[in-house]
Amino acid sequence: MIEIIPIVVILAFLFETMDSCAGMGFGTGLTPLLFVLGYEPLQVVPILLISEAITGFTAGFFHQEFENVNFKIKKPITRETKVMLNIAIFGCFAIIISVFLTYYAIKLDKTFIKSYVAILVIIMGIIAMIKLKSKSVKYKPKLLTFFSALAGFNKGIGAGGYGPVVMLGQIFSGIYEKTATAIVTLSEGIVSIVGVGSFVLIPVISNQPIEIDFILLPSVFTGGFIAALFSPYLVRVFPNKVWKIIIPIYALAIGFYVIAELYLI
Amino acid sequence: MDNEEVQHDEILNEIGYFARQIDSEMTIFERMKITKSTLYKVIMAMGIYLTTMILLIFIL
Repeated sequence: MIEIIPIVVILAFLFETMDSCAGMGFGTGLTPLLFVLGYEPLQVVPILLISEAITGFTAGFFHQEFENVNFKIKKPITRETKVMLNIAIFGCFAIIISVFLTYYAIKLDKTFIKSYVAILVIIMGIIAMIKLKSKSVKYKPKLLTFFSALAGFNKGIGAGGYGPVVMLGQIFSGIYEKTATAIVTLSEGIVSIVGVGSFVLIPVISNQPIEIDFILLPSVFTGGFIAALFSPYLVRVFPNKVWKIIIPIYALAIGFYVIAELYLI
Repeated sequence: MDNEEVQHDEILNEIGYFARQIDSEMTIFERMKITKSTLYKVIMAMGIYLTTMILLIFIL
């Protein structure tokens, strides 16, 4: 029997709305809150990946529908599609390594690596705030590749913060905020599919299958899916200058939230 | 393709071109309008959601 947990639906809706509007925060924000509510990592991590896989594609589709982005699979593929694939490829490698490290319980100092990413996100958020007044930025593909690789490296070592680093990295590389949100949303969908795949396959290959608890799936999926339909519309309706302000403020909030979670809670 | 066409394609291929155009050419109220085809796609998406939930009832 499936169970809908209202508080989880509301939290998933809020964090997915922000994730699909500002390109970050679903995993970083929701995971610790679900732990606080008493759920175990195997009840949370794979479920968030499954949900993010579906909502990433749904939100990506509606970002395209509302013309926040122009993805094109047929040749000649657009630059936006190339950027999305570039980000997704780094993310896919990273998530396989991350699941591998988690599964084999290879211990890295979590407090240190998470503090490093939180500080990185805070610094990037501050720079984005300082740069608010600059009118137009030229597209810098090399800088974007650097940030994609950096975000992938962070995710790979289990430090998280993939969304904020990729999102702010895109903005520093000269990508229009609305389009950057759409790009990161779809690439997160692709990365999450690979994440789900590696979560299932790595234990099977090692002949030690793990049992995933699906209790949270209906609730997380319900909140996340509604948000994935609604958020691309919000991105279209509000002018870009609104997102230009919201994105760095939200990134700063995420950075401080991670620090608070590590040292205060 | 002549030079003008190449330039036109380059502009269309610029990252965020359509989003920028919509922002500069439409008011917030014009951007709020939803076409019928979008509405059908939202209904289809809700259908996918319901199907998934029904499948989950059987699976879980």
